[in-house]
Amino acid sequence: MNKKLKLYIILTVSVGMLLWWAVLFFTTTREQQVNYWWQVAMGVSALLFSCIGIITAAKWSWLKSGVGRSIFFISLGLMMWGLGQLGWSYYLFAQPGTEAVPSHIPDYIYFSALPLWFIGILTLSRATGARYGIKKTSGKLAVILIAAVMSFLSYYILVDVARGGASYFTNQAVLDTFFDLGYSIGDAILLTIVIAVYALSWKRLGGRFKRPVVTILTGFIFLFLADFSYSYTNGKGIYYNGNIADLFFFLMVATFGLGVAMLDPDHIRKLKKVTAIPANDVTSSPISTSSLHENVVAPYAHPHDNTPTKDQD
Amino acid sequence: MQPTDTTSQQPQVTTVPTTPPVNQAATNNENIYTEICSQIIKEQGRIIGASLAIEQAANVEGLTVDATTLHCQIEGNGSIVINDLIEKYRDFFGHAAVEVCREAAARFLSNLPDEQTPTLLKQ
Repeated sequence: MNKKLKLYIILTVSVGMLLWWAVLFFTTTREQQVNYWWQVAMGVSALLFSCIGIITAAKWSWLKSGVGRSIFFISLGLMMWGLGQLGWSYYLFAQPGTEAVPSHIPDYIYFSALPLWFIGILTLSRATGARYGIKKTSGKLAVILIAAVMSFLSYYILVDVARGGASYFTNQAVLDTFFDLGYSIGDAILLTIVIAVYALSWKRLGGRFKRPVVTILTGFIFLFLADFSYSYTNGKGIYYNGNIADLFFFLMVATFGLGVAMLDPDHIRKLKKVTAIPANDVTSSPISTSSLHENVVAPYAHPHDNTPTKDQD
Repeated sequence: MQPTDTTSQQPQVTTVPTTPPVNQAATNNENIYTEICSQIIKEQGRIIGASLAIEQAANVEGLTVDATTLHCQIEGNGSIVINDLIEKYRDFFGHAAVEVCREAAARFLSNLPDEQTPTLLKQ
């Protein structure tokens, strides 16, 4: 599957899903079958996009490269999230009208996405040059500052605002508390790492793949916003299938999908097929030093390269 | 000069030149450039994958890469070939890729005179 087709599929599905959501939201359609089917479609979209991502990882040598690993784990995380979403959707049809999903199985599956995404961002940070940023004192200070601010901010947003304080957790069953806390802490850690990676890389990150990387990082911001708005609206008893939280969840799915598909290196390979001079040509028809200098070196010389040539020596 | 008989047990007298001949220095630099190229391709392979890293290198004019051993051969000005190679990788992730190349080449740079160090590898 080529890059164009991947992007076409993802954009078409995403636009369709967003239009569907807009109709549900603006017509205040609630607790109808069409709301539940939208949830199913979101799970299926996540699975589809994750498969596209996994196929893309193959073009970066699978797990043998940092970028390949990153795409693979982010896509696998999206796949697990999609499966969790389908599990959630199943209970919408099987037991409609229940306040909470009677099983924690979807939670286990959703939750497994967090460590996979964690690995995905960390491996991606190697390509973005974040580790060179952290070597500097200013980089270390930035990370400490980001971690401190994000810990405070996340606690305030996810615990105080969304759940009405820490007492919320003491009034719950153990597993409910575990997952609620786990999501909050996991989201906070992911967002902290994402901001740190971006802050440490922003001066270094460039090239053709800057945009896909930024798109993937944006996906984690949507994840944070989605979990926050879900917890907030659920805590206030105003959540319904297809509300603003679900929009953020879908935006997360779409940006992950787009990001990994944009990382497809097809266009670079195609570009080279046109402009490249095969390496074999060099060996099969060696060029004399003088002809190299006359015909090859000058156009390729870097504007700031004052390296003397052999002739000059 | 008489050809050296390697089977002979007689001690050989060799003269050690005080400064290396120009050709020898050039050969040393060429070896350093090929080592730098191999190391850069290897490190980039860890990030973008060996096949893409080799594919990029194979499209650098004047550079031949053995896909199995990553051994490089350079035709022409090594400094320019290395700059061109780094440019290929810079196309992927920008300056982050240049940093990876600098780190890969760091241990070889002390053996190169400053004026023969590829521009993109200078800090």
